[in-house]
Amino acid sequence: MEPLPRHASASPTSVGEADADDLTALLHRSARGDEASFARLYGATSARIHGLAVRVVRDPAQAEEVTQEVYLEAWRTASRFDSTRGSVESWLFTLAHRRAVDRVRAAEASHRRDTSYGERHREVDHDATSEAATDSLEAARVRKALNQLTEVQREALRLAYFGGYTHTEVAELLGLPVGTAKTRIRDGLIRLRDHLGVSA
Amino acid sequence: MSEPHALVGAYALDAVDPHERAEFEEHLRSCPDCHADLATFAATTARLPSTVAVASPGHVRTAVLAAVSTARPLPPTVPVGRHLAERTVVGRPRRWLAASAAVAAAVAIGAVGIDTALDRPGDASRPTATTSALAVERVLDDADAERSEVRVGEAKATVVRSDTWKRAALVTQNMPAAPEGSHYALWMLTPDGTMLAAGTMPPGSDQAVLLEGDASSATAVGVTVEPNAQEGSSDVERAPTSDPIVLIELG
Repeated sequence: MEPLPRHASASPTSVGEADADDLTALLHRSARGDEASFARLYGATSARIHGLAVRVVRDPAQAEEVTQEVYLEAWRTASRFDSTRGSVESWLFTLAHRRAVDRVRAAEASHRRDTSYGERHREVDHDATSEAATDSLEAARVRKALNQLTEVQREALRLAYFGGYTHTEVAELLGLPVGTAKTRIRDGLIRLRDHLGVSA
Repeated sequence: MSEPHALVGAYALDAVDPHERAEFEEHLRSCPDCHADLATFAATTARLPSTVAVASPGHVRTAVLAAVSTARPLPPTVPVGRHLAERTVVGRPRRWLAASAAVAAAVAIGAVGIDTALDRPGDASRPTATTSALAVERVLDDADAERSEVRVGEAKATVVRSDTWKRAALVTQNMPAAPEGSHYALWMLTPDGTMLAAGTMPPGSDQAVLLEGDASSATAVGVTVEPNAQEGSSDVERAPTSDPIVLIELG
């Protein structure tokens, strides 16, 4: 098996300690039904997947559902992953983001569902959530790169990616003409990409 | 088209509405620049979750690993199928003939139904098309019958056409169940490109079904995923609503 280009973090971090080659190997073994490999893949990526889900959908119970759905889908479709198109992380996080965004938009469409606050905020394992955000070298590096963006680019990216808003909604929220939010988003991504040294 | 091109960033962040998404995906098929941008943008956004990482609760891990132990990973798609699947997911369903031409090698499995099909029991209450075991056996027993086989992962579909009886049968093995609320519909392609409804697949992974209608001039047999009919309405498909997930060309 040929090695993947390392565009993931070059140094170990507390959240994503497995490197790209390892994740690819774990996913390939998962596709063949290796549950232990899948458990390791979960261990190496779940804090970021779950954090993303929490950040986008907000509701802890729904975020847990999103996390579960993402991993189940990853397990079932592991054989469809194509390492020539990108890293395992790219694939997993794209999948997770799409699901989280679909979830918030569907929830809004049905008036945030008719469940009460109490139901939606039912108890979540306390010890687990109290671990709070796991910081890492990687996170620090990404934050630093985000600081290189213009204020508008950064806000547009934040609202689109973590807020789950469409570019037209982002334009409205930032008081921009409709056509310009998508340009800010694209320019922000280009700048972030370049500062992080991401290559295809 | 410069308009869709400008959406590449918003698309990479899922910051598009369904209409824009479909439009952009249409554009993406013919735009290598957007493809390249999208790949680097995906690698870029993949770095963002590190800034919001939160340990997932232990019971989520337990639930995931328990669910995984009861679900079989899907088989890989064959390259031509992946191609078709991508084209099928977006935009309007294309013409049958176009699909047929694109998969001249006779194999095509789309992600369409199959991705969501796993581990769902078939709807046993659905009436099945032609289940005359006797007629199926006559076709299968015809020593001169022509056999055309397609394998997709572990699934196998064989069309047996008997000139003697002018009928064809479809035999499946390890066929995944159709997605909930839908079923597999069968079609025969005529030489002039018309799609003729040929019945539906009964639920179950291993089946032998007699195709409805005279099969002597059919050039291919296709299987599509079709939504189940509303209660009380006619069950007969007149035209497929999507590209075939399997297309078996006949000799």
